[in-house]
Amino acid sequence: MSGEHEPLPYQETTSDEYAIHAKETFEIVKTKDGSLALVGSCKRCGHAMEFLIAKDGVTRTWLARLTGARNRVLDPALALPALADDEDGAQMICACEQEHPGRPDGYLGCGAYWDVAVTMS
Amino acid sequence: MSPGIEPRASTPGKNPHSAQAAQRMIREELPVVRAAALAWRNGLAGLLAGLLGFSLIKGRSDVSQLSAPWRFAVGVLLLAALTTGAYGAMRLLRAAHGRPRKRPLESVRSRLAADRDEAGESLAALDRGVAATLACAALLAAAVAVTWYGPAAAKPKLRVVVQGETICGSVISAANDRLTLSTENGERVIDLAQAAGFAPVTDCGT
Repeated sequence: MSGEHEPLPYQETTSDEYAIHAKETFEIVKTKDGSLALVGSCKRCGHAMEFLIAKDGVTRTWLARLTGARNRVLDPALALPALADDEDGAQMICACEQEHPGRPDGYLGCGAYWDVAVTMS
Repeated sequence: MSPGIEPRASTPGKNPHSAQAAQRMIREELPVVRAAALAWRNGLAGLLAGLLGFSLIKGRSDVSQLSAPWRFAVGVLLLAALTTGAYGAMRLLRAAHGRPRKRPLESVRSRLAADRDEAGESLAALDRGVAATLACAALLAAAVAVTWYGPAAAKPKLRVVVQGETICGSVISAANDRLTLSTENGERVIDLAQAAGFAPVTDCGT
């Protein structure tokens, strides 16, 4: 856990504990389109985070670019396959919005990542 | 059926770049939809301004010069364009600005989920608004085309009886007691002093 004055540096790392912590503590909120928002705190840095598991996402079309929308353009080839690794699984990351030194531009979290499977019971 | 998650064995060295990009894209969904809706809203506003000002119709500028059924057709097309444009404007405004409403606090458990829902609803409104905008433009173009190229209303004609002969045609001029009519057989000049009767008609065949 990080101290208030010394935030953990960004480091891409994983541990089985991260996924176990997520299963035991994260709240799952279902959206209208069936996506799952996982709400909790990161096991590594302790910061509050939200992570969405979805099958698709909205991106800008060529027409939106022409009409002058000024949002950053993401590469769909990078983004879409990562929403869910397979039918029922996903790679989760720490998605907190607090500062972590050394974090690449545009990234979220402290670098912690872990794998989960989505189940229906 | 309630969803849950189960831990999987961690895989050290796995690059989280794709997951990072996906989460960033998800957080930008709503601004992307809002920006697109704003752009369409502005485009539709220009279209409706042209429609309401009627300034787009430059050729034949008066629909009363059209023959009767086409005149009504232009009216129907313009009404349909206005209705479609108004519906499109409402949908685009919904997509661009959302719709404030009260929600029970316990239902707001995740900002990310709420934004995802709002992005989905706004995207549906945007799609309908775009379709309505395009339909409005098409209807407006049809109204302009009918106004320009529709058949002209028939000019009123005059039937004159002169010395037992009935002459029918449209008036070219009337001066110095002489009336000049354009008839099927060419121009005819009639001495008004000898005319026994006049009757305005819409068609010389009747």
